[in-house]
Amino acid sequence: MKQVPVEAWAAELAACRDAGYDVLDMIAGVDRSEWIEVIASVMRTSDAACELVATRLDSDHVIASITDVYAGASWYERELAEMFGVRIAGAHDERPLLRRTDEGAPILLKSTVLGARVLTPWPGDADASDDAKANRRRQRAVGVAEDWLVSDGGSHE
Amino acid sequence: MPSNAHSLIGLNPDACTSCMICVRECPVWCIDLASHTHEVTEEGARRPKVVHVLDEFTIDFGACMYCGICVDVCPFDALAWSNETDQSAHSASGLVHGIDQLVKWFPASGS
Amino acid sequence: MTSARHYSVPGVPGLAVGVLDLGLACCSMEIGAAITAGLLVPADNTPSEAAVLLVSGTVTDAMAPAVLAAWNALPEPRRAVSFGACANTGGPYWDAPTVLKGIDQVIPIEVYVPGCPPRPEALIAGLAELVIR
Ligand code: SF4
Ligand code: SF4
Repeated sequence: MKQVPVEAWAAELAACRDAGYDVLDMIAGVDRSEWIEVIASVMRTSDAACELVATRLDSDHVIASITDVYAGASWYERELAEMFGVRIAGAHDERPLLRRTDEGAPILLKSTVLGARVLTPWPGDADASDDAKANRRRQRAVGVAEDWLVSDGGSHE
Repeated sequence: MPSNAHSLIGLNPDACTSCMICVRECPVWCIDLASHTHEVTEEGARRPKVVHVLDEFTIDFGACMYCGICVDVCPFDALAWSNETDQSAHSASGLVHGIDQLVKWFPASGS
Repeated sequence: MTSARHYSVPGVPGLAVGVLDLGLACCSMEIGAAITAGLLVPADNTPSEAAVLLVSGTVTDAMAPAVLAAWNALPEPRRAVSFGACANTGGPYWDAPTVLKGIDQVIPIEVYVPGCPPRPEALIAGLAELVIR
């Protein structure tokens, strides 16, 4: 995997295309908490070679569009924008992909609260037993952040 | 149906200790169980023993993603894959199966 | 939008269905598996009892109107089958705000086939349920 600074993102992918990588396989985002990692996977159909190019977005979440390099990038860039709140500089298409509007927090960021996980009672929360001697260790569902339930009047704990 | 088909999950209620591990590990929160405890004093024992009794155990196969985590994490092998054909229902709630059904899907020799 | 294809189902004698396969995610692979395994046999112009809308896969909010349109375009008598955890309840994506918690919020479902994905055999069992009803 090639790690490049964000300023070199579009140039690096153009270099890949010029080196014969003719297919953009995908672009994916990963929320690493301190930064957002963006990874592009490209393929060369002549010899089935693959290359990964990665960059990290630290403070301002802006990355250059590569739709001029790979036309198929548009779909993934829309996904990055919608799911991770990344702004695509020079994007050709800014319509939301899975949502009908772009309202609400980007849903693949770890900081985004998923309402369904807050509103649905977690079956693991109930103590297996109603007996007072039962283990009263506090439990929390995987994927539900500590502070989500603070303001709901303690219905979960 | 191939013998290693992962179609359904069966429960052996006699092996289940109501420990809740599977319930808490299930990523889609589709297992639910209820139990109570009672004390049994065995002859010659100094203190009564607390026994968990399983009252209800349901798996919602409408949501289950057949990941097998529950089967893997159960410390008592009370859950196991069955290769019976998944049963359709005429309502989403009809896909929620309790002990009576789950016990039938527990393979005779474990798996 | 594709039109309904006609199939006979060797496992259920006498059953001929016109299936409009609305494959929205990975579950739809299993329809192909059922055909390859000979569980569903494509039949030319066999008059079928009913048109069946088979919804398999994750229904996002953005996709829901298309599912509704496909249902409305289907001639009577028509019936809908929900295939797989996503279509049934949202499945692994039950907590995603962009995903419908079951396609039955949009169209009336007659048979729910569980699985993630359901096996091809489960599809046949589900289609058989349509007949019994
Ligand atoms: S197989 Fe996975 S989703 Fe299904 S009940 Fe077990 S842990 Fe939950
Ligand atoms: S992990 Fe096993 S023993 Fe524990 S509650 Fe689940 S089925 Fe029962």
